[in-house]
Amino acid sequence: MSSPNSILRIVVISVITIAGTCFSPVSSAAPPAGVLNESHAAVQAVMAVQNQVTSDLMRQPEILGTAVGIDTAENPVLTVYVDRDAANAGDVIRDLPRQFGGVGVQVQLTDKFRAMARPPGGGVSHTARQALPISLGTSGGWTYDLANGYCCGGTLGSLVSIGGQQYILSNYHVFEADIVNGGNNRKATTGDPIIQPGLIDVSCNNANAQSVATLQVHHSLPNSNVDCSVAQVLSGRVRTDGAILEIGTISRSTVGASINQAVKKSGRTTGLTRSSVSGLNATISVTYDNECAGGIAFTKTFTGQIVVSNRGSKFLNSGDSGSLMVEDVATNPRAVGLLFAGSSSTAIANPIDEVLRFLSATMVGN
Amino acid sequence: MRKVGVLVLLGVSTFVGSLAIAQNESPVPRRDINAVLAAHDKALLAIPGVVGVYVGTLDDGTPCLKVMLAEKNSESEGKIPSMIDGYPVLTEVTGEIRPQKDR
Repeated sequence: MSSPNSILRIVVISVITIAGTCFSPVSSAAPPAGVLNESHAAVQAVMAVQNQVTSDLMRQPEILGTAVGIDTAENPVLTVYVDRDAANAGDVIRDLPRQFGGVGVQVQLTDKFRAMARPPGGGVSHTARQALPISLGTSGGWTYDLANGYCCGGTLGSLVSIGGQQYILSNYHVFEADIVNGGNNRKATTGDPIIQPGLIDVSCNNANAQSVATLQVHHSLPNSNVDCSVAQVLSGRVRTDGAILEIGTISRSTVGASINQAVKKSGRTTGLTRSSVSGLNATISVTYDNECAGGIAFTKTFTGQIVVSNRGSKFLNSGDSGSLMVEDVATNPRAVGLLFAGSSSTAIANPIDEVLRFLSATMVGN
Repeated sequence: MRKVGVLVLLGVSTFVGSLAIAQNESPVPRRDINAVLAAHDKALLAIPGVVGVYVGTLDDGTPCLKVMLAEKNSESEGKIPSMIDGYPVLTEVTGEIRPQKDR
């Protein structure tokens, strides 16, 4: 049975500190030879000291943990984690000895450690299999999207109404981009199941996912100017109010994009994220595969697209395709665009009105 | 009456434009920036390494054209004008724009 302290120690020992030294460790000799694992004599020496002093150190609430780290000369030292938000962090650091029994001490200021089992965003998972009826902004895809040694998936983004029927809206390249028999001897076809979560979140085994809708191919690409597809909802499988995880219900109205407009989206990979529109009327070239991990199908040049800041892929990342981009307001936001492409600095969305026009659809909302 | 007004307006704008060119050698935009983009996007995209072009703004809010590059490439950048039809043209390295499906 592991104690909380030993768990913390195991966690932080595996992290092996990178930087943040506040005072120099004692050791200045050449780094010890060999792999610095728990069997290494130099590491064991630090661990022995760590076992002796950690309990006492952690009586101070400002000290959040200890670990075996390495100094800049790559010698094992005792790393002491100090709460960067503590009002007296400076005093705590100053009072720490520079060594314990010949083992150097280095300080690393850190945020409070938190359990990471729950995903960010209030504990809402965008990849877990949901209880029915599902909310949108969740992992999903074509049930047969497995080829060439990979499985693929994206986001079941939002709910639209076509001819009085409800459909899940996502991207062409999420639902129906398999256009060759290729690696799975199959092409995406009207009537195929759309599943939640997508294959990428159920170890590529669709038996672990649930069918929530039925694909209705529209072949939006390569000929139209939108990357969209829809799947007709199976009765009782999707919330009829179209609620999106961490966004809630949306407006049935839409709004055009404008530069600096604050936007948000809820997607499979990055969850609920926010950004702002940085450009309009973009002409963009995007290359598409002919199936999951397949060859190049075509390169499409889109016009009139919405450009969104995406520094470090924090707003949109692989797997978020199909997410609905809405204005960043708290209640019933209006749809702005359908996210479908990007890079680590830039995200691209189809203007939602063009998507809806192509599908003869309206958003489901209030 | 309405036609006369439009003609006067056109005349004034032409005059102002000419003056600006004469004095600053920096033409004032005469066309809507979206029309400028539509007239030049294909030529810009034909430059190797260019993956997109869009209407953006400078830090002070001035409309500009932004040209997206797959990677830093001085040869490509050398082929991109710094001004088109009176609008500043900026380059930014965005990387390739890819569909955001995961596998």
